[in-house]
Amino acid sequence: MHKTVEEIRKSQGKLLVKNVKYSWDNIPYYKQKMKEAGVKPEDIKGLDDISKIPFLSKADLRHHYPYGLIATPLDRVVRFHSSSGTTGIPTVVPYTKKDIENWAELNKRCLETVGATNKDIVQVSYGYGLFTGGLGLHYGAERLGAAVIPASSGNTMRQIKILKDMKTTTLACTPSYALMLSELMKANDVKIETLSLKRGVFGAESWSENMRKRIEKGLGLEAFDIYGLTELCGPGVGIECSEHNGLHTWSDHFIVETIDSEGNKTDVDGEGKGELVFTTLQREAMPVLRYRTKDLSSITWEECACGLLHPRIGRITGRSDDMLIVRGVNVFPSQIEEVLMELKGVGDHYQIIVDRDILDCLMVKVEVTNEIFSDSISELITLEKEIKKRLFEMLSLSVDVELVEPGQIPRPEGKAKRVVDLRKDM
Amino acid sequence: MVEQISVFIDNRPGRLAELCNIIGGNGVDIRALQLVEAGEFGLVRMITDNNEKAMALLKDAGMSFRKGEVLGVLMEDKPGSLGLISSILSDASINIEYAYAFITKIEKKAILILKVNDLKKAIEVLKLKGVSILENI
Repeated sequence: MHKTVEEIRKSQGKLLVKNVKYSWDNIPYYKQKMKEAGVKPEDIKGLDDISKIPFLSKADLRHHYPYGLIATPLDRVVRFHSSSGTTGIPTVVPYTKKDIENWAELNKRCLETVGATNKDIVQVSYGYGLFTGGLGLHYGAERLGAAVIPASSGNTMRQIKILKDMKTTTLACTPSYALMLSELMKANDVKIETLSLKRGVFGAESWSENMRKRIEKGLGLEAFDIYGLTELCGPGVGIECSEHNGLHTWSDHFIVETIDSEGNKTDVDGEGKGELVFTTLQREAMPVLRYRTKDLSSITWEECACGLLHPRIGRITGRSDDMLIVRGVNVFPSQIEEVLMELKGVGDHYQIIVDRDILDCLMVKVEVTNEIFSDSISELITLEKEIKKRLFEMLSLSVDVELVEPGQIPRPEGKAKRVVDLRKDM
Repeated sequence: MVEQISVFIDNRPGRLAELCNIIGGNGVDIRALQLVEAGEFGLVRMITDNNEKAMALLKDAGMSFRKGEVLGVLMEDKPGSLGLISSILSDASINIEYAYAFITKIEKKAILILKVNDLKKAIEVLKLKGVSILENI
C-alpha cells in the first residue's frame, strides 16, 4: 500500500477510537448495542477493529425518532434536517455549530474539486428546507467565497432567466432537474452560448453516463456527481473529480467500508465491493457508527490522476433493498402495495413502472378485475383518481395510475414482476 | 328490459377486433354495440343474440365484464322521435346516463338503448305514453 495512504488510514483509526469512546459515553443506545455485541470502547484500538462494531440501520434511527440518538444536550444543537420520510417516520438529523461548519467545509471542498473558486457564481437549485441539498451546497459555496444564488427548486423559466442574466457559472441541482432545464431551454430556443455555465454539481439521485452526456450537451457544462446521505450530513460526502472515475469520499470525516448481503466485511485494506457502510469521524450531534446505506458500489484507494488521496467510491449500481428513488423521494414498493390493498380488489394485480422522460415518473398499472369493474366510465375514473390521491398522500409524489385489462401485467413463471425500472438504460 | 354486457378493454389498436373475434368467431351475433373511451382504457357495451354464451367466451378469455339491464325502446325512425322520448323521461325527472341507437330491419323503426337512473319508473312513464318497450332485440 502507498505510504501516504497508510498514514491516512492510521489517522482514520485514531479518529475512530475517539469517536467510539465519545458515542459510548454519550448515546445510551449505541452503548447498549455495543454491550450486546460484547464490545467495549477499549476493544477498538484502530481501523482493523472496526468490524467488531455493530451496524446501525435506518430502522435504528427511526426507532429513536426524533431525539433519541443525540449525543449532545439539545442547547448545543443549532439545526435539524430530515429525510423525506416516506415510510412514515422521517429520519431527523441534528447539527451542532461545529457540524454545520464541517458540513460547509466538505461542500466547499467538493466545489473546489470540480474547479469552482471565489470568482464563481453558484446557482443552488436544490430544494431549500428540511431536505439537505439546498442549504448544504449553499453553505459550501459561501464558505468558498463564491457568489451564491439561492434559487431553490421549481419555477424553471425563472431559473433559466437567472442562469442567463446573472451569468451563473456553477449549477447545483438534481440531475433530472438539470435535464429539465436543458429541455425547457431547447423548447424556448435559449441557446447555450447565451449562458456562462462551466460546471454542474448533480446529486440526490442515481444517474448514468448517458444522462451525463445529455446534460453536458444540453447545458454546455461539465457535469459532476456528488454523493451524500441525510444520515451522514447531506451532500458533500463524496465528489467526482475531473477524471470522472469514481467519487472521492473525505477520509478525515468518513470511513467507508463494503459488506455483503450477510453483513460480512468485503473490503480488504479499504478496497472492495458491496453495500456501502459509513462511519462518521467528526460529527458531534449525531455520530453514526457503521451505518448501512443499502447503496451498492465499490471502494478503491488506488491513486487518482487528480492527485486527491481520498478513497473513491464507484457509481452507485443499485440498492440492497427494493427502495426506489423517484425525483429524490424514497419510495418502497411495499408502500404502494399498502395503498392499493386498502381498496377492495385493487391490490391483487398491479405493476409499478419507473421511467425517466425528463423527470422521473412513477406509474402504477392496476388490472381491472371483475370485482372492481363497473359499467360506468365515471366510476372507473373516480377509482383511478382515488388511487392517485391516496398514493400522493402516502408518497408526496404524483403518480400516474392506469387501469388495464386483466392479464396485461406479465407474470413470468406465474409470479408478477411488481417493479419495472426503465431508467437503467438512460 | 334488455340484457347488456359491458366489457373493460385497453384503449389500443386491435383490441376491439380481438374482442369481436372472441364473440363473433364463436358464432355469437353482436346485435348492437357501443364503444366508449376514457384515456388509457375503454368500455364496450353490447347486446348479443346469446348473452350466456358470450359471457362464457369472455370468461374463458380472462376479460372483465358485467351483465346489466338497460332499457330498449322501439321508436319511429323519423325526426323528433328521440326528442320525444327524452322529453318524457326528463318530465319525470329521470336522468339518462348513456344511450345509443341504431336502425332495424323493421321498416321505419329504430331501436334506442337507454341507461337511466330509475329503470322501473322509466318503463312506467314510457308505457303510459304508448312507447313500446322491448324485451329483447
